[in-house]
Amino acid sequence: MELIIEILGRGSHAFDLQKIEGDTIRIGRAFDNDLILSDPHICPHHAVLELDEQGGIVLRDTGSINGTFAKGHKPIESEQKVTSGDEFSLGKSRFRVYLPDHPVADSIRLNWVERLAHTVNLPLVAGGLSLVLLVLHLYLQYAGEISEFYVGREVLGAVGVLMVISLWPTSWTLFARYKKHEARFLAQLSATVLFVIVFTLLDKLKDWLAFHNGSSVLIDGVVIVLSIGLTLLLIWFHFYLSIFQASRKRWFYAGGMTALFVCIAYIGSNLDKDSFSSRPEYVAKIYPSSVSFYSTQTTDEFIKAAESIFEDSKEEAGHKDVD
Amino acid sequence: MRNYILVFLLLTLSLPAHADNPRQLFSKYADRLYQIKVLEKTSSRKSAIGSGFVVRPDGLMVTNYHVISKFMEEPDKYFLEAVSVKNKSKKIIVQDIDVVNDLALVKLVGQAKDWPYLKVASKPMRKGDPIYSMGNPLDLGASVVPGTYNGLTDQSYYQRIHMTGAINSGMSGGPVLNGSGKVIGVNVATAGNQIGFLVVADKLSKLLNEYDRRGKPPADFQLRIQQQLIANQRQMMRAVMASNWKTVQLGKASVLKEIAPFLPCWGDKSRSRKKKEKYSTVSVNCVAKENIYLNQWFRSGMIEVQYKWVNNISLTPMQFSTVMGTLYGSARAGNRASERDVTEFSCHEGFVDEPDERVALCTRAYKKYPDLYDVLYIASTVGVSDQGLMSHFTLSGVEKKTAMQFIKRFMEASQWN
Repeated sequence: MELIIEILGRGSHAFDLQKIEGDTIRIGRAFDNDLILSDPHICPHHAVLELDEQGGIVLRDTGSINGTFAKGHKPIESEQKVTSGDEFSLGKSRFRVYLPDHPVADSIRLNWVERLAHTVNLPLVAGGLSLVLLVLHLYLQYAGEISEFYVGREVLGAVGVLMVISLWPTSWTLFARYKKHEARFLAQLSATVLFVIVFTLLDKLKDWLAFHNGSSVLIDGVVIVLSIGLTLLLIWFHFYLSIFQASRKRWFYAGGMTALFVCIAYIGSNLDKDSFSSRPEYVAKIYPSSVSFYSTQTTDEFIKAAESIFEDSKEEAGHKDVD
Repeated sequence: MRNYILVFLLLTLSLPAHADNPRQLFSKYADRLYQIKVLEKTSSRKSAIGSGFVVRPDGLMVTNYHVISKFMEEPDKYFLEAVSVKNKSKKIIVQDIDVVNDLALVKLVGQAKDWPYLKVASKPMRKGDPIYSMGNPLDLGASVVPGTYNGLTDQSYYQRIHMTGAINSGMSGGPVLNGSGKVIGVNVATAGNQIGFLVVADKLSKLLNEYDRRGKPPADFQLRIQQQLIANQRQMMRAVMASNWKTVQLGKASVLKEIAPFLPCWGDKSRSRKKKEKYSTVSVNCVAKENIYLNQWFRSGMIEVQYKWVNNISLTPMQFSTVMGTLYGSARAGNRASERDVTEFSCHEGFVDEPDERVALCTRAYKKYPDLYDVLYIASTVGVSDQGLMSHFTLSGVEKKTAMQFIKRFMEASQWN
């Protein structure tokens, strides 16, 4: 007979696959076995797989100390009939037995996501994206620096920022390893870095738009929706890289995690919303002429347009207009 | 003959001053002096203390508004008491107030019509005259402090008597006497180092006259405060708008300075500690010295005007706009106010021309005093990278109409050459 034995790790993941031929397949810790399992709870000669009179396969316990069990922790008294795909355990180890003609799962087509994952896992891509982030960070520091710009110190600072950011993909990689999955750290890193870059640019774009059009609910709304969308995509991709999941399940997990982050961000931004602020709220930005496009009003036009803030304040104070 | 009278008058004026000394003044008038206490209702603990004095035989007393402001804000939480020099506590009732001049009239409860009282002086003082401030400093007991009359405060809208002498907290509301024991002012504030400020006796006389005419306390103190604030800001803004606004050159811009005599300006220049500075600034800062005390957290009735000229030495246009953005974003109201007193600011932002500026105009309304607002203006030049101008003003406690006139004139005043 010819059998395929799948040794299972914790969490039912295949640990090892072995194809073994022979009339009797001996299982145990001793080196003269056909299937050697180095588990101290397994006897040197623990069990055997063999053919019975009818030509079926049986698993027989050869008087082990800790016993042999069928799925559901049912002890095998003397012998147990085996059907392809059955799971057994002995000591602390588990394995499945398959016949060569056992059907296997449909193959997964290499899709664009997989190709993307492959691309962003390239050292050149991950390195390039990290470099872009470094340069962006340095530029923003430089643009905001109004006294002395020390290149060495700023570069060191930017590298520090990158290292802190890389903690996130590192956790995903550890998670993937724990799930006995391909690690693909670089892909995880690329995704995170790209996310940070886009997020930063989006934030700057928001300020820039607010400078030109005044703070508006529409712009804020669009930016919030985009941010949530980006977060969802990032987490979805992390899940994609880290574990095999059905598509629907992956969306579910990613959505849940995004919702959690949105909740945290929402609570965070609303913690001090109730507290009174004596600071006026307006767009505290000025841009150089090369990147600003505005049309001016005359003083009179501005004053006329601004007049309504008196009514707004009055309304907020709860005073009725008498005239 | 005329000369003879003059000499005689001077003699009568100066003789008692020489004759009386602080000890005699105190022993003669201490029975007219009281400590005013604001006590918390549930625990009967002192929450604020000050001084006061009787000015009428029916027991009408004078103190500072800021001494009793806690009680005025929350009459359900506090009650008032007057304690005599002999340590006898008596109930008092508020009769009238003048928030603009920080005065309050309170009355000792009872039918008695023979309270010993102090008279308000009617003769003017001269610089250098000895004066005697009375009160209860730091809750240490009734005291008399000799000092010198040094005229009225310069460049101020809410004019006070400048007294050289140690006035301390707790003495607020106490009388300041001339040599003949007449009230010439009321203790109100100190600037430390023997510089004290007194409410001018004229303001007290005016309040007493108004009270006599009405004959009873106002029905609604909040309304009374509002009317006083509105009348005051109308007068103040009229004075500002009527005055000839002077300008001064600040870099390439011509900006306002001293828009009214009571709004003195200070100039300042940035001095970098580093040898190579990347930009420099020059500023003009005009702030009124006094404001109106409404409560512990709320001041009003002041104006401030600020300009800052920034000269770019070696910043890139992006960095320079960061400097301007920081200045532009740093606008705060010049007066203190809390959530119970004002709304949050509502702002309107835009771009105006000549010179091209980014402007934010913000207002907040007074919750207890309808039709009064704090107005804040901040502007930064845009479109130029070698120099920039930040302009700012705060008007506190103004009506919309006067504010609008001021805004227009202010915006049209600054020029760019």
